[in-house]
Amino acid sequence: MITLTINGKLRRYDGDPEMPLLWVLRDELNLKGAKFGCGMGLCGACTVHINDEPARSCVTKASDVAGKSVTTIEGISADGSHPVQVAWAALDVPQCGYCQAGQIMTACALLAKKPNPTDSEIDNAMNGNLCRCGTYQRIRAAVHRATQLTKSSIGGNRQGAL
Amino acid sequence: MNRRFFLRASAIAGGGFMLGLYPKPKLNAQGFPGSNQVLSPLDFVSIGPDSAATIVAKNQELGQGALNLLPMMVAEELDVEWKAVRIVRSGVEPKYGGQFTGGSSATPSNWEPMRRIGAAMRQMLIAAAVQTWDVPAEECSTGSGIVRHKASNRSLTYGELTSKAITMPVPDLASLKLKDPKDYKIIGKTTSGADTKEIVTGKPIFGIDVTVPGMLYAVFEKTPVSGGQVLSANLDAVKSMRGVRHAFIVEGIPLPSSYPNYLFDGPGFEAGVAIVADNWWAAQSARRKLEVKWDFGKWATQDSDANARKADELSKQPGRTLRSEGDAEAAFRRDDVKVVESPYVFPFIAHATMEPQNCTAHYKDGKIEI
Repeated sequence: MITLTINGKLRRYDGDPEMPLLWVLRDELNLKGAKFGCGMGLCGACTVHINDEPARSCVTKASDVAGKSVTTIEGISADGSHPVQVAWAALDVPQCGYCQAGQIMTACALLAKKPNPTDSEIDNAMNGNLCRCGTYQRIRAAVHRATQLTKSSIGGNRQGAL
Repeated sequence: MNRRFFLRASAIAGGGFMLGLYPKPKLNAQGFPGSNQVLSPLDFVSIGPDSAATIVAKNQELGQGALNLLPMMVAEELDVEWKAVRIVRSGVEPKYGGQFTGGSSATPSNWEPMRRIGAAMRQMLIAAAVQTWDVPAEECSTGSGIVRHKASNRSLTYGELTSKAITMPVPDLASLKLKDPKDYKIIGKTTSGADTKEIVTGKPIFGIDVTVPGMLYAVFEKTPVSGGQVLSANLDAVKSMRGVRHAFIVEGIPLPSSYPNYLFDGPGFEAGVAIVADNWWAAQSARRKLEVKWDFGKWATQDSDANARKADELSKQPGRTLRSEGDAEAAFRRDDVKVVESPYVFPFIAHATMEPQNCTAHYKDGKIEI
């Protein structure tokens, strides 16, 4: 039995402890926001926060998140009111959208640490999140927009706001 | 069939979905060539009492904007403001006509039918106003979801007309007069993605997100060589693994021998081993323990180098004209044109979509919904 916090709620999981967190979220808890892309930690579509750090849920075993706090795209705000989501929608970043939950989670984690990142800091932070449609220019612009939307620290520990 | 037509064209163009390399579509609003199907505006447009227009997007969104673009064509001729439009995704049903997105075909193949759908609905709204006011249709004009009769200074919103409009006869789509492009208010303008909000909030809108009650998850270990067969597999060992419900050999159905036919003459089916489990991870874990003895079949000796040599050989023979515009030979002869010649080789690779290929099949009441 594994106990962990997902989007502020205490959850229990008693399945295969080797099963990656991604499949606990998607198949066991029906949280479909984090996406299965490569299954090898290479594309970033499955990115979630584990104790506020961006992590690839497809290569993180369930047993490794016991006692930890996980935030998914569904947890940053259900109505799209998080500044990163607002910026993403305002600049119409997504095309097919498959990678975007991962992109947004990585961007949130970046802004929590660096509220006012430079272009190269954005590029470095977002580097591991692939987009097959090539929305990289708008992603970078949206991170800047999110910075403008909130001068105060965002991301970080938003659990209280959930 | 339209769908096959484009698949074939894309296949001839090298197996990729290549821009502009298919013959120009000859489609009309009465469905598609070779079919008697008639598209109805009532299947695509519904207008609420508040004049909001709900428009059905019949083609799938793959990232290029088809979800917006087809409703934009409808809304343009319907003569409503874009902010009054709500886009809904359709299911897959014959009444929507061809629903294939790919090969850069969604826009050109729907360009005329979708505008005619919007124009037909507009005409039905005008007909409803004509009947209400008892004035000639030619004296009525539309704009921003309102029908106006200038001579008597009267107007009715689409919302006020909608219940009567849907009882009006559906006009012959082919006979409708379409707008002059210079009058376009929506087409040619940037609109934001209809699914953007769903995407940024992580809503389950992708094929892989579909769930049905009691759903099981299958993985399929396909023959590594096209046309290969399974000789044997350690099915008992696989079935004994945690969470695995079934494991079985799937015999192949022979594939058509010539390549373009592969896509539309009865597709055939590659052989392999299917593993069905309670969740995807269990199925995938079992797959790692799977041991298969294959008969790779007659294509086992094919290799990429030989294919490249064959392509080079074929490239020196006269080709077949698929589409011809302008005079390329004359352009090459011009003095002010620099001609660059080089062989380009494209490997035989997958499209590398980020969403892995997947499909949900739901068996219910003796039918399978896919």
